[in-house]
Amino acid sequence: MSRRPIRIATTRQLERSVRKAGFDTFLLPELPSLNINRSLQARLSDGAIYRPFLEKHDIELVLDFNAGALTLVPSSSCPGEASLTTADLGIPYIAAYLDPITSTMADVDWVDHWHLLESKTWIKWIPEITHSEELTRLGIPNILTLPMAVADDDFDTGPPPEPEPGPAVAFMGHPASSWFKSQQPILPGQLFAGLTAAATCADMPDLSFHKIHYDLYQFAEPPNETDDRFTRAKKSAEYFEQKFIYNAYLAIKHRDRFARFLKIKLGDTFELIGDFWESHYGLKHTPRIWDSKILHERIRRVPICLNFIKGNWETGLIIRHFEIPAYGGFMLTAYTAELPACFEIGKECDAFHNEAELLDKIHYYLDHPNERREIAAAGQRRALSEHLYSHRVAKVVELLHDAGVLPKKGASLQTSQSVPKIHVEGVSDESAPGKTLPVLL
Amino acid sequence: MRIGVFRHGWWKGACEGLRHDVVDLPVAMHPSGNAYEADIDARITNGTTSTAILADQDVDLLVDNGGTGLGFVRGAAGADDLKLAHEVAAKSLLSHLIDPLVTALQGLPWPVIWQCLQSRSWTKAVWDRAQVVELQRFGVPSVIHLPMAAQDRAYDTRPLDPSKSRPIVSFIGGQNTNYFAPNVNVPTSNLLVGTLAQAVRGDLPDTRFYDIYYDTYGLGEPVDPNDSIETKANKTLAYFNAKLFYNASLCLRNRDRFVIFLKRRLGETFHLVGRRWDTAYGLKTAPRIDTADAYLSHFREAAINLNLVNGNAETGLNMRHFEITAAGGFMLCYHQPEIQEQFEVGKECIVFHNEVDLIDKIQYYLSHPEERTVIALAGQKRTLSQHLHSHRLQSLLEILVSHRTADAVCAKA
Repeated sequence: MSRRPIRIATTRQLERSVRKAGFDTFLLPELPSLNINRSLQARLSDGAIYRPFLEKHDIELVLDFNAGALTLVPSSSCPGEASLTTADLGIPYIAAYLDPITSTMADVDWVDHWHLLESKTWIKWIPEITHSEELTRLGIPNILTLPMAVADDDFDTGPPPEPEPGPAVAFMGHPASSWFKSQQPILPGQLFAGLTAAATCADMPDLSFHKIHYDLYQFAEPPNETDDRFTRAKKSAEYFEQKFIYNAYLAIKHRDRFARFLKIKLGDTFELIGDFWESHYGLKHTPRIWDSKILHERIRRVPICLNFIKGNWETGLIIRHFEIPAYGGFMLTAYTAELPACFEIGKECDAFHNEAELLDKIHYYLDHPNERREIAAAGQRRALSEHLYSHRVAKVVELLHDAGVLPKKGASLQTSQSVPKIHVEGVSDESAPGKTLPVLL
Repeated sequence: MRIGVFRHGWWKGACEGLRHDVVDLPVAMHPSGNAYEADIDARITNGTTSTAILADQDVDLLVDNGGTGLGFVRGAAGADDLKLAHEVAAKSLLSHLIDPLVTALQGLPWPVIWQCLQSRSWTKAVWDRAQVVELQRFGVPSVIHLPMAAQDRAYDTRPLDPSKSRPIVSFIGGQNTNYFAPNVNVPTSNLLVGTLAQAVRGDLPDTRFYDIYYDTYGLGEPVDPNDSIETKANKTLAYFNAKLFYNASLCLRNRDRFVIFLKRRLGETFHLVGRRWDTAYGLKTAPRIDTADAYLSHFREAAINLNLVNGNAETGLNMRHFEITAAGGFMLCYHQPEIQEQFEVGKECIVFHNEVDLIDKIQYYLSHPEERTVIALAGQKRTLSQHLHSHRLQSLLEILVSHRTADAVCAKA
């Protein structure tokens, strides 16, 4: 007997993929803002909108990007406290991250943010193995590691159009870092751990920051279970502060350098599509393409579509890795360690390791259009058969079933035995006017 | 030949080794004791003294270390009328630059340095190939590559006795950048070029800063032969200022990281001698070694002599490569692009490439004393037969003779 499709509530970005994966799909109600950085107070207000919706539709799983749909409600089990809306209802909640966790919830105090992440009542879908490892090491539970993908769409699988006159090579994206442009003062001593990691990684490219920081150089100790929550949050904050310098280095290493290099070497043959290149690096560029249909058409038409990851990832892939082949573009990408797990390099895309190789491969593929087209077609077949978000969502649900996280109808989610509390400043409990409201997760 | 040596034991020993006569000349000094800090006045005093000595001596060539023999003589036109002392004396000056120009000539204003560099009778013998290319492309005349070397002296050439070696890993050398220490903010924009160069070098290890700065990334306008001296000076100053953070990063990359790493991993087994490690990183150091004999003996006693180059070298080897091997010590060093030009890696010394490789090789060679002995002996044979200062001097003299011959042929033609 087949199980009936589970009922998943999600945001607009994932709606089509969830439906395509065969699940009963419910679009979460509009909120005043889905800003991933918004405060806990805003999320507490949002919970009042989500809760009746989730109850009314008997939702069994909530899925979103970057914790945008993470909301809070006054706890029904612990009066005067608050919990995640999903946890209070016994529903599993999965946040699919598109950026490292440090790029979200900027308006939430770090201690509260960390405390939330330590909660076992929601699942963090992390798209990079290295980031998953470091979060696990820092004490974050319920990490699910799966690569990003491309949202389901109407993909054109016909033969690629003839290239239009104009730039033969394009990159679509912004500079990965404004840090070097910012002129902000920094004490050189603060650069030490990041630069040591950069030097070490140059000699051992497969070594991740957390291994260099904690194991190789023992610059600090990761949080441990005997630490109180403030100490754990402090240790994690210090770790990410040290890593910030390394991330700035990676921003140059992975992306910004290549954009500058190609503008010098190729001139107008290379189109830089995105914002801030002029202000950050004095590079000529065309503005970001906001209309996704036009963007995808450009991806498909340009003979060589470049992909450079940002500085906030060490080994993982970004959405563009999946978007370019899915829309039929020929992808030439900076090599990253997790690329071979998703694409066959040389057959479904191609990769470069340095400036010389980048230039060589650009010249080669401009001279070999048929090879380009074959690779683009193979890349598209791979992306559309394995790397749509519908594939990922199906996989996630399968994993949740296997892990016993998705309950049978009527059963409640097993939540953490520990009940961490977060104080939401400025939000008063009606029963105790003027006091802060503890949040039960 | 009669060679004027600006007070330096290495070159004096080399001259004597080759049976050339030596004329002792003074070097310009600074009250700090650091000859590199000698300013214009000090170099005028010294230049005047040197030319007076040379007026009475029939000298064929002047040799110094680090440009310490570069002096001035005041001309008749007033305070700003300066001439190079060696040109006044009509002699060729050969400086072995074992530090970057900005370090060796730090007591002089950059525009003055740049004017001096134009002297064709001043041969700039640079120890680091990357910096040779740098100066040549800046249009500096008479720049040649000359690796460092070991001193001419008597060495103990008996094979090491493993039973007498101390089971330690030793490193002798200072912590040489204070870039990361001062409590002074730098704007992040100052870090861009160095960070970029470090990123490129991470993927293309043999790439020189010069190539990255000008050829690959067009970060500055290259020096044009038709530029005025002032423009050349300004362009090169901007270049070296941009390189500052890269050099600081190289200090970390080439040396400091491994010292910190080994102190944490090996504790007392890692014998560290050198200044500033305690203040910079809180690392415990052993007392300095006071005499040259004790210094050389130390290399023979330590089971493994680690060598880590400084941040001022991009591709070249430092003095310690030659001192350790000349003394007959077993050397384990971090890879530098020029190592294979001077030693057969694996037979005359051992090279490591990263922290894991370093620990593996330390463990291996601590437990294989016989192999250490064979390698140390081969390294010593190589250095004593090819890498003493007398060998370098001989090469220089051959180069100078060939240049003069070429000049004469050209003049005749």
